[in-house]
Amino acid sequence: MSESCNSRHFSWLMKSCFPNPNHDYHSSNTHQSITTTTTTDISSLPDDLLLECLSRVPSSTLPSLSFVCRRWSRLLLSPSFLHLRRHLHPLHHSLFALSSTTVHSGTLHFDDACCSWILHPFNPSLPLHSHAFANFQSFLSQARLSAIGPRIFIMGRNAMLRYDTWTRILVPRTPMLFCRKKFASAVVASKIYVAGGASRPPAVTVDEYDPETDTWRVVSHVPRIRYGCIGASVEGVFYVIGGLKIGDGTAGGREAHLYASSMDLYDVEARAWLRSRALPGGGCVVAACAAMGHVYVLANHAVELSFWRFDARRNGGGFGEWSRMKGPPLPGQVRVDSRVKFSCVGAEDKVVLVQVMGCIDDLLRRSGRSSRGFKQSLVLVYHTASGDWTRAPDLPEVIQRATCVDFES
Amino acid sequence: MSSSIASSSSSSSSSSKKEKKISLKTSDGEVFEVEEPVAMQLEIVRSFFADNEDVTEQTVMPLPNVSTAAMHGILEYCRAHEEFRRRMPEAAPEEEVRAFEAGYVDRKSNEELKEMILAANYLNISKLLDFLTGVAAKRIENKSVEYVRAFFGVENDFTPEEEANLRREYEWAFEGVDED
Repeated sequence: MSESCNSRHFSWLMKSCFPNPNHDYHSSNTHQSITTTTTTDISSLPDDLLLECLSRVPSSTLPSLSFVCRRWSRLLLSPSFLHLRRHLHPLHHSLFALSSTTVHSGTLHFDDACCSWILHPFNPSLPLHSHAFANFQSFLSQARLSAIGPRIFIMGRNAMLRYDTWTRILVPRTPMLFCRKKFASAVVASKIYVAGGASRPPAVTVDEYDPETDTWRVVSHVPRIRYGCIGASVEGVFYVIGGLKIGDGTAGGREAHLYASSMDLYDVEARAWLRSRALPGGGCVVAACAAMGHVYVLANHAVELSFWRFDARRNGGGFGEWSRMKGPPLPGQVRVDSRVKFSCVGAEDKVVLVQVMGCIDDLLRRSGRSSRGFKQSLVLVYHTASGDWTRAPDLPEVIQRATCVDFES
Repeated sequence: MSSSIASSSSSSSSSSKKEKKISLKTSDGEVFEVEEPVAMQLEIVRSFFADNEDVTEQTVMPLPNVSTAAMHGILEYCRAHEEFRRRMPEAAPEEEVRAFEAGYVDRKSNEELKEMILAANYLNISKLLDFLTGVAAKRIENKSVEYVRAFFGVENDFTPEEEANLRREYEWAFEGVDED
């Protein structure tokens, strides 16, 4: 009955009760209680043993198990379940792409060589009574994603959903403190941090979300309010990258460029801002993510794209160093503007660049296809170990204007 | 170290004519005489003998959390594995092990399975515990909510209203998937 009823602890306690085996053992009633339970089945096992059983069930069966009873539902959501699962079936990194125009989501698993997209209808027929979901597509189109283990948090302007990739269940969660749009988000130590974005009045804070308690709180104030910024995290630092300065259009181009090519660094544990950093060559950050102790940045200069790596390993000695890396195999003259957009996702030792919007005709001709209007589908993978790029299966057609995130399952 | 009993008896008659036995007493008072290598698969027994130098061969180790029925099941498994190990010390004959394990659990009810999981956990036989919890998982696999509740005697503690909502939203989960 108790929350932390753990049989193994009890066993060790019992073991210590054998001081002298030559004496007759007087079994007391408390000792008997383990074997003589009122219900007589698998569900009467103590939490840790039931968890051992449940964590061995294949993922396909997990969805229905959370409806069996409250206790099973609680156990399936517990950190111990995730821990056991990780231990028993090494969790793999996958890319989750959520379409904002159709109710579809897709998953790309990287564990095997011939990876392919698996599509799931992203079904909004869930108990979403809030008005915030009245226009579900509008909610999705402005949402940012952050993943903690197998659970993906979909943060919209005034609503939030938690999507469980194991059970495919959507649950409404507490919305953000401010109605942010185009903000930065990242996960540090199993908590979500958000900053920047447009809101009225402008949100000048960094807010923290604790999934255990489903609560938001303000943790700091930002040095710059960035609109359209990108979030990433490495070793406890929340990076708020790129974007534009909000507000008066009179500030002029110089300052706008300063925002677009720089990033602010918030040390979550120390609750302090580190010195801001800027791309050595200037330019405008169009996509960014964290992988293997580095922040990777795709920058746009008037006529070309460049790919950079920022050393974010704080004890590595090289912290703060920028290196220009081999750029993605895109045609030289690709212009990333309002018509072509990329999303960058770090998946363990890979950086995945997903073209989520736009049309690259040059690239199309190079890859030998003749039809024009090649749309929002290119997926390129940068391998941080070898420094090479490869091409992964294109985003499925039903996934449009995608928002992407890496998750473990 | 288990110097006193383990080594004194085995060193005096290194290739012993008569196998050494360890006595284990279950919750209902039955005493099992178990061959040493088999008993040593029970981590709780192994560490008990390793920790207590003054125990003798006549020592009867009480196992108050293990019923006689569960003990029969546990020993059947451990003896079979000891036999596999003895025959093929390098690598277990996988086919045979699988065949044995399949037949072994087929005969067990959920209730017996639960008793054995508790016993294997208490006796700390990680290999058997892995195996048994895997069997329980197999029995849960591909079952509907209703089936799991009935089959495992789980009390549905959702309110009728919550239950109705769940059924409406997640109809697929409540329909029989695999009646087995």
